[in-house]
Amino acid sequence: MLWKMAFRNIFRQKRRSLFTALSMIIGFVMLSVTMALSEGGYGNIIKMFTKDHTGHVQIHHKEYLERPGLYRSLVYTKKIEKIITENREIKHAVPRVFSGGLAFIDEKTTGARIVGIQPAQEAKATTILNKVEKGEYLSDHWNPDKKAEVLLSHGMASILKAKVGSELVLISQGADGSIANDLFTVTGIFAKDFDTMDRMNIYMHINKAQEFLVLNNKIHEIALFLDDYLDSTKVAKQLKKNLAGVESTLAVDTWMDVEQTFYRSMEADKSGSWIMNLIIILIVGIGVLNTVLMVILERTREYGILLALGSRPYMLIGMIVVETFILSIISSIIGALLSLLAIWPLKVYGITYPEPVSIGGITIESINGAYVPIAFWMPIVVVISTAVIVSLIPAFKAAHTDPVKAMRTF
Amino acid sequence: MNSVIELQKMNKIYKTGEIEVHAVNDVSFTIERGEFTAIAGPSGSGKTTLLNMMSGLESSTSGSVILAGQSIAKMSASDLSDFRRDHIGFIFQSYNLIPVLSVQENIEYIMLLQGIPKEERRQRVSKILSEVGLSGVEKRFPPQLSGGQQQRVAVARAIVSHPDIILADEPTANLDSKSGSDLLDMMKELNTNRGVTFLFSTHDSMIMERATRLITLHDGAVASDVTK
Repeated sequence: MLWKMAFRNIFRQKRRSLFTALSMIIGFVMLSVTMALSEGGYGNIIKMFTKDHTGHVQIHHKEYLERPGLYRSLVYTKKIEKIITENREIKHAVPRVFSGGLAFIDEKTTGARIVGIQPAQEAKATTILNKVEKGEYLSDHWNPDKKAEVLLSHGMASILKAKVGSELVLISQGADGSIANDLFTVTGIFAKDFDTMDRMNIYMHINKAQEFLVLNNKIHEIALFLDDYLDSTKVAKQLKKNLAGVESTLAVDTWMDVEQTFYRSMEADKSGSWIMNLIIILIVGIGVLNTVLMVILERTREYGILLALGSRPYMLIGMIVVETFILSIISSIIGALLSLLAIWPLKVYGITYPEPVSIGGITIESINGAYVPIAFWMPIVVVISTAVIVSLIPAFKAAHTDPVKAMRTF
Repeated sequence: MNSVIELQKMNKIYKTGEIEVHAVNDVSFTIERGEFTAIAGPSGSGKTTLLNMMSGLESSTSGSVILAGQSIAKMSASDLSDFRRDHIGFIFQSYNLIPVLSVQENIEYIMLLQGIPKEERRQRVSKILSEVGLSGVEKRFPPQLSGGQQQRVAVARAIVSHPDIILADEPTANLDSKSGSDLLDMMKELNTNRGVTFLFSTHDSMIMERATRLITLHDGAVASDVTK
């Protein structure tokens, strides 16, 4: 009977219930969209830059991450390869070489970050192949006798006014102390959105980079790619344990360690969104409190009758809370459906910032929402619990109504 | 006959600042089972306050109420609530049905609180509706009924749980004379046929005429107590 009365009371004052439901639905959708953008958006960014750049776990020389340098290198031995291959979570492992240098094209010159990659493996593990906007991707077959090819990031190509086919001179320092310099052909230029992390990159075949920098068979990084970035910490822990007995000079780090500044900025930004959540809780809370108080004022006589007939105060509390609970469930269902619609354009088209935003060194031009579970279960929890908790205040007030005063007569 | 309710030296004093108002003044009487009694008197004579105190809805300043053999003075709020539910039936001036409950559900409500099984509840509702002349309106909601019909449902709700006494406050005040007269005839019939005890608070002459005992209050005190 309690549920029946609560349910019927919702439809008794349709307009008022509609306004109460609206405050809950608006709160739900706002929270859901915020969550979809913050949790889903950051999730997408993490997926994008780990997939495009860092990978999920990296193996370096133990001092490399703190002080990157040409000499802090490692040898990708068969033992290391075996340990990586045996780990089922790891889908791809790609070796990389890094160094700084000076790039010239005609009279244009700029500092550059040289990145040596294994073209075929890199293409399998990352989205690099699809990011070539002009020209072609690097050939996997390296011919030492042929003029080496390089791929330029969009920013680098703009500064040097490079075109596909341009000749580029690169000067750097060799690991043996010599001056490294060579002539390269620009074979391709990346799209702008590949410049997320570093717009001054010059990519070349890893063998050419090792030859150019006199590194022999040494590399600076093994980037590991997993199916799910959330497994990064677990896999890094396993690898640390397994590699400890093989090579003591190695360090295993997750993408959170590699991109600490970004990770911390992102976490700080996400925690800032709780202010928004608090505002939404207030919207729902005040909306519900206001209407429930009005309802109680109008139904004072009825509560008096129910108490006079022998109903216990807790029954009245239950009836009012159940009424709000049912309304919050209905609102949550409608809110979830509307959120599905509201998130869709944010997922597909995203929000483009007027100017690119740098978060911890990662440049972001737009943010896309995502259908993440938290964008739905969190608003459900917030809306229902806020509504129920807020309705307790007027419910207690109603339960302690004086039946005589409430009924005025008798 | 045995007594259903016994009032002993009931007093009720309201204090407004320094001013004391004796709403009920040293009232004592006993209502026997099967009576059809009316408490009459002008507005402000203390009728409603007296009924409130008899049902435990309002506390007395002094005196005691013995209802169904038990003193209600020292009962806790929850015990009083249960006691009221089990021993008293209420009929209010403005019907006071629960608008979101159907006729059947309104009548069932007290039985539900008493824990009476569904089947028995339904049987009792069907029987009582027939007795008050409202068969077939079980599924209707109060706003779909006339004032007279609503008050009949209120009577059905009051007597269906077999209380010891029905306290009826101005039950005909909101009805036209025809409906009021029909309602009173029906209540009288229930009184005669089923032995239901009624105690009215009223200044309606139709009730006073039909009552078998008339207690008149004046300034909170019993001015006369006449059994016809």
